[in-house]
Amino acid sequence: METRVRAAADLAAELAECRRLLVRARELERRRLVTALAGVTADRLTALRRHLAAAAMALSLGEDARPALNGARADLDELLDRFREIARGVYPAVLRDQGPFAALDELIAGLPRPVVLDGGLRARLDWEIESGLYHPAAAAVTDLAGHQAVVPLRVRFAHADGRLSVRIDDPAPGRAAEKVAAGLRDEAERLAALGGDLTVEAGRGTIAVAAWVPERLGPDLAGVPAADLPAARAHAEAIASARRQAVAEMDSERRAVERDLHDGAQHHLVALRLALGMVEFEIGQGLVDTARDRLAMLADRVAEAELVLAETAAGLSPAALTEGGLATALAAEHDGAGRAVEVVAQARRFPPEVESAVYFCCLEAVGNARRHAPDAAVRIEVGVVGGVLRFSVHDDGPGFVPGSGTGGRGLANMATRMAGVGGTVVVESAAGAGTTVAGAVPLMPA
Amino acid sequence: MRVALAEDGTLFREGLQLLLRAAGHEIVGAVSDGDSLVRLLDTEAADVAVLDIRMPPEPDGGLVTAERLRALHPSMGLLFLSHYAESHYLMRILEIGTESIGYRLKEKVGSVDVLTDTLARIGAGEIVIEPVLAKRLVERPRGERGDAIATLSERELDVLKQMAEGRSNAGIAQQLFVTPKAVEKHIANIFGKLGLQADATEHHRRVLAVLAYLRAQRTDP
Repeated sequence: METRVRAAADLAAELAECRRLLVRARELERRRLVTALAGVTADRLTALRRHLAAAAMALSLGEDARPALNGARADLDELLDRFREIARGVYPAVLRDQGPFAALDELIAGLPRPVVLDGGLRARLDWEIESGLYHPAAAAVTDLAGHQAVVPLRVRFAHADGRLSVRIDDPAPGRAAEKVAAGLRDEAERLAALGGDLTVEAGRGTIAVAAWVPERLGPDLAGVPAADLPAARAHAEAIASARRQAVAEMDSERRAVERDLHDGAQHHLVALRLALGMVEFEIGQGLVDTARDRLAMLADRVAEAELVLAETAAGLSPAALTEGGLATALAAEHDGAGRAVEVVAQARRFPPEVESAVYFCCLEAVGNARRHAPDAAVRIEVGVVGGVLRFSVHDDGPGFVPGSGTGGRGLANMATRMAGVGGTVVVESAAGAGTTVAGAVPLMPA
Repeated sequence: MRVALAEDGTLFREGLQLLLRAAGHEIVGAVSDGDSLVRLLDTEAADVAVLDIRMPPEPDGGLVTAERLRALHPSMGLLFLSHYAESHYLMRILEIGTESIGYRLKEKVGSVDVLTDTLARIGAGEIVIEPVLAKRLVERPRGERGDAIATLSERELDVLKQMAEGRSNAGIAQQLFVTPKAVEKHIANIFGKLGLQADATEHHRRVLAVLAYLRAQRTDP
């Protein structure tokens, strides 16, 4: 009986750990995307604006605007190339249509180093499995073949022994194995969260990257005593379903980002490119006034493109949180909000998934306070006590009688977010005593 | 030239209409999805239909619409536009046809000269492939290909021509009065002579072989 109880506790801990890894993998991916979006665009957008301004100036002075327009065109083309690369990486249409082998083939076609791809899949597999292996494989191949080299990289796909796996052999690596491993750490974490693995082995002047995902997302039940099988099966299904859900959520997020880019920033920039073509045509035809009006409109369009891009990125992860952490992001969010929200937070960094969960819980709690006690003063506190990150959001409003049904959906959202990082959240309130939302997340020893 | 246009992004659709008019073309209609384009072309005649690949009906409305248009109006030129230059799209386009057809990046048709040139070539029956994509495909895998096309036997050249017209192995066999097995053998020989090793998918090698052939027909893709 005792061993049975312990086994149940172990299973629960395993499930909690699995959830934590999945939440973390997702947050890491979001942040990487936000960084990529910001890094890729800032300098070219500035250059584009400068060239457009120079062209407008030249036109109004009766000078030749074409050199500045050529510059603007080059800026735009470069921006579009970078966007294309990001959007393709986020969600390649070919992956959904034709599977990971074809998607990798398409990716390889655009890389500067020759890559020999062989092996393959006997049949299409569940989407979660295909997507789960493709992204780490793509990251590894891009990392190893993203530069000019004569010796080809060898990539082999296999589907055997209940695993979908890819092996990448680099007979002439340009970098040390440790560096390659460090660059792929996030991918390794993601695969571990799915029950798979990614390893980087250094041979004599060679590097081999091996990655795999299990064909079934539940843990292996071999060796489980017959008496424990029903419980173990239920547990395995819980883990498999958590993994499926995590991949599905990550995937729909990727898809949404790609769609946002495609219909948003990319669409604006391409339209801009057409308008630029019109300006060039009009100047060629001597229609200087029309060209000047159109140029003025172009500057507004650049601002619009920037705005939609910022929205895409903000939907993923607030820049202030990624860059400055909890204290900075909470202060920035509530700065100048009109009614007083006081933020008292230790200026230190936490794991990204923890920062993100606590940040959104605090916003949700402040939102609740605003709805139920519009005039109350709100105070957010964040600190670490005894290896546990604690936060509270207190308002001095009228309060409510717990259990009277007012907490509702908001509290459920907060509880789900906190559970994802192994934390808890409670609401304490009493009529006339205000309301406090208090949460705690045990921090893993670094 | 009379041009019909289907694109679901408003800004791009309007921008392209301005450019088309500036280039002296007549726009017979501009719509936002494939089904509307088919209906429009029931009553209006066009020399070239310009299609956004990714528009309704989702996900790749441009491609499915083009298949219908090619069947309904075989002599109408087709120009596909996309944010992406990808070989899997190109493969599907080559299956629709290899004459009076084009596939270009949206931003690359953003000047009157390029737009005019692209449409004129399609109107003249040519195939226009975004240069960056054609280059990427033909250059890979690296190796001496040179006059490889010239080393093909007459029969192999016949098979390659049929491939370039988008026919399947079975279709080629029927056309040339040989067995599908014989076609497979010829294709393996073609891949071998063109230096297309087994390091790519069958699909990919087909595209490469066709591109090599098309390139040999012209100096510049």
